[in-house]
Amino acid sequence: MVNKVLLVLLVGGALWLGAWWWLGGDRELKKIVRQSDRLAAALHKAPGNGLLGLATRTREIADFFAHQAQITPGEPLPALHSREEVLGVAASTLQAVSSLEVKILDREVSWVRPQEEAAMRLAVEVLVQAHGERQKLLHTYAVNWIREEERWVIATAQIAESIRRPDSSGQ
Amino acid sequence: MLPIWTIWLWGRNPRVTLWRALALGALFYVLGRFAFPPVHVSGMSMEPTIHDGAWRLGNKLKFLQREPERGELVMVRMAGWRAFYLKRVLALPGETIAFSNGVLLINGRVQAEPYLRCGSAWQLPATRVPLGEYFVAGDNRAVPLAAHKAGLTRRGDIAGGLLW
Repeated sequence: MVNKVLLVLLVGGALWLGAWWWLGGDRELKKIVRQSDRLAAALHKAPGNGLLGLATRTREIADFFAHQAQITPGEPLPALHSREEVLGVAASTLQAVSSLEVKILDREVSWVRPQEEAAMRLAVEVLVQAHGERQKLLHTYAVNWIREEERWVIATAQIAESIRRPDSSGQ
Repeated sequence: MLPIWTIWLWGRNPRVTLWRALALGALFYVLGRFAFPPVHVSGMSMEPTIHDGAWRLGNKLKFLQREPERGELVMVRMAGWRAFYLKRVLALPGETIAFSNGVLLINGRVQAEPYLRCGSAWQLPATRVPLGEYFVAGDNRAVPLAAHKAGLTRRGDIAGGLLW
């Protein structure tokens, strides 16, 4: 009898959680999470992949960013101030590297202005191979997502490491 | 009489076995999520103490009752609660840290670092660690300081230590 009650409670709880997850107000946040997954997938370049379809690919990448996006990707890439600049850097980067893989290790996302702007903290591992050298980079980014033309796009992104270099002044 | 493989798989009472399995699964999930997460080490920044690809057990409860001490290994939060940097605490809040030809100086005094296997040429001018922050670095001093993820981290970003 006790087992049956527990089973009913467990199943009921699971159904309630599922309904809350699927129908609740967090659906838009889930869309943003999916957008970040899609961006990581769009940045992928397998070894041996040629430049076929590069223009389409870079446009696809640029579409994840707002028209006036402010991006600080970190060394060696420069700071970017518009979607067009993102497009240019994405094209030159994909041309320069022989392989590129972006893995999202962890993230947290919360509303800045509900349904309009969200802040995401994103931990990524970038595996890049260029000129015969393979490099693994770990970065944490602070990303702001906004809704533009009914799509979630990145308005700002900057390095936000939890371990930071001391100031050069020594203080 | 039940076949022996059925007893091995389900026990004599499958319902009890199922509840035990569920309870154990829930217990391991809670322990792994909130107390002792399994840690898969990726990268060589903690060589030779911890090798690339090694598995360790984290301890998120370690610094609930006390503050991290110099020489301890800590997990530093990246984003969320699944990915961490694994580093060693070198300087505590309010202390002054410096490196001179790879030698660690705290408040101007040379510190022994028995966990190191090779020397380094790290140079860092005297730097005061702000209150509420720690200076952390990996053990792999073969990597130049400029290419190493080392520096100041806030106390709030230290998510725990290692159990093993």
